[in-house]
Amino acid sequence: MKASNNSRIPEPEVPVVTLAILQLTRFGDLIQTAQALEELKKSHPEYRVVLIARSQFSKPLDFLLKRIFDKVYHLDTKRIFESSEVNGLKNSFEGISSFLNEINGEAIEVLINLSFSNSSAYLASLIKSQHKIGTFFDLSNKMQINDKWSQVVYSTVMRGSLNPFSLVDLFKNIIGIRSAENKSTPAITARSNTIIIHPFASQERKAWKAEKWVEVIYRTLKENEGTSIQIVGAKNEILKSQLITENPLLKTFGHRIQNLTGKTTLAELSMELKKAKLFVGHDSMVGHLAAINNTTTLTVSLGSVRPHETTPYHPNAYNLAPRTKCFPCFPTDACSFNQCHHDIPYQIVSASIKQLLEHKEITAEWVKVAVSSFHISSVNFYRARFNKGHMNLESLIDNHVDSPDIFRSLYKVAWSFVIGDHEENIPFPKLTANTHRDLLDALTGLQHLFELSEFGKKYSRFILEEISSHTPSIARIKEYSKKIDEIDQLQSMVQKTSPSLAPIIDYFAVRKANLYGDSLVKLTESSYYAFEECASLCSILFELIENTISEHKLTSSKINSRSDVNK
Amino acid sequence: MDMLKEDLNREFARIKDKIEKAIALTEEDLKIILLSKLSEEDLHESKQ
Repeated sequence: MKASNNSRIPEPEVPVVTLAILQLTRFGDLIQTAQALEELKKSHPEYRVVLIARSQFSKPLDFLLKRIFDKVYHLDTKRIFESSEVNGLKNSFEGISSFLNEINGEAIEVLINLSFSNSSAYLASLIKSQHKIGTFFDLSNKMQINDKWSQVVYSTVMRGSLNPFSLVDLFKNIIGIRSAENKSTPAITARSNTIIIHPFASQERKAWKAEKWVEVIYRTLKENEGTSIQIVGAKNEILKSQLITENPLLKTFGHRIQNLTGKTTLAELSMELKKAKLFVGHDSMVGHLAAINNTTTLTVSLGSVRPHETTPYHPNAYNLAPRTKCFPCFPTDACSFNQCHHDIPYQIVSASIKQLLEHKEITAEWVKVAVSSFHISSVNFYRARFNKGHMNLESLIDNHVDSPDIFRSLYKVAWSFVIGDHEENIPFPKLTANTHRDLLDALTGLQHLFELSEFGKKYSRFILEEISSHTPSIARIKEYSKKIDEIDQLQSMVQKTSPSLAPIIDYFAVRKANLYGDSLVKLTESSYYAFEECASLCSILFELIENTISEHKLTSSKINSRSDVNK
Repeated sequence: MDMLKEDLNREFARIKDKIEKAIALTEEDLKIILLSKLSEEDLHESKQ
């Protein structure tokens, strides 16, 4: 008699978990979303990941998105609003309903809204999902943000210049991707002697005028024989590109300049970037496409661009940003002179191109030796470095770390510790008299914020105690709630005297607007924890600043005693 | 006359009234707000 195991009990089928990513913003954000998700697919290939995006941005990027997402839902507003001017709302309403029906056919476990626009928040509210991350509206038309990383993004990104995180890292944090491995510098593959230049941007304030690019191209072609340049851009940039290519200064180099503006699809552009040695341009999706292809990038950041947020996410990324006082501005700020455009000399761009072509990298030593201090005095020069799977921008200018740079580093440590639950190791920044003073100012503001948070905890506790007493007094609960409102107002006033604390103050305003709970007790508990988190963030920042100042004093006294010995 | 705009304005007045009276919105209301936001964004996009 033989035992047969043919009739084994079949293993139970593990249900596929579906994540839906909502990204309604433009090409650049979509590519950065794809970069974040690429890491999730590597660590969790078992997940089904679908993307919901606007078709005018997602369809041209299909060659990239289909590599990463199991399915893309293209929101085609052109079709939805087709002849709506004549037919009114009815057809559009049916169009959006049928789009939603299609998505709601998916069994979505988690919906993650990575675009922080109102439209995406309304769309998120209409998509059926067991859990929702990111912004969405409830039925009383109140925006909800329940996860802390989305609250950080909502309160700090595009609000000032103190967000220390790359958008890709923020997306990874929101999704919960923990990649400890560093992005390795890709092996240099054989590439053509071509530089791709995208001298345009979505807004005029973010791009140099044609003349400046003509100077860069002229010097680059003159100093680098055998190198050719491809100018790329969209169809609506053709006229602007002709202002460059038809400039008399470039006449002798005409055979080495190829104007591809308006002539390539994004898939074709991506192939060109893969072959090119270097990409140079302003902040735009072309830089992110270059990053996907491991092509070295040199970005010239101007206007409202935040280099720490949008530098192409890869190890060979360089970024030049002006030290102009008003940089980075807001897209709505009036500006007639564009001082930041003048503060980055074209010479530093052409010298960097030459260095990258010949030696493939730029170091702080090279900047010190090869770039005139006159040219470097008005710029910040950064290089991307990866640490524990996250990108940092490291200054390539040894003796210049400004106050925003220092605060960004400190915020990075503090946010990572309090929200991300991991430790960032960043060396103590070198201080100047100005940055030292700014840090001391921040200490005073932090002390106020800490004390207010402690008061907030106290009054939240009083409310809880009152509720749990035998005879709760509504008048007393109201009185304590009023105190908490006053504390909130006082906290927002600290921002006026300590603008460098805006990220904490804005974050806690968003945090407190999104307290959890459906009863007074739960809401008050949630309020208590919000104040506690604020106090803890303040004390961490306070300690970091104190240590930075102590280190500075120690280093300065060592230098002074050494020079005393030399006397 | 833009019929979409006219319809949206009428619907908006109705939704605003609901919000003022603290009446919960329906999915239909949210779809109308969404359409209005998308159409605003399309307009903004076409200007860039």
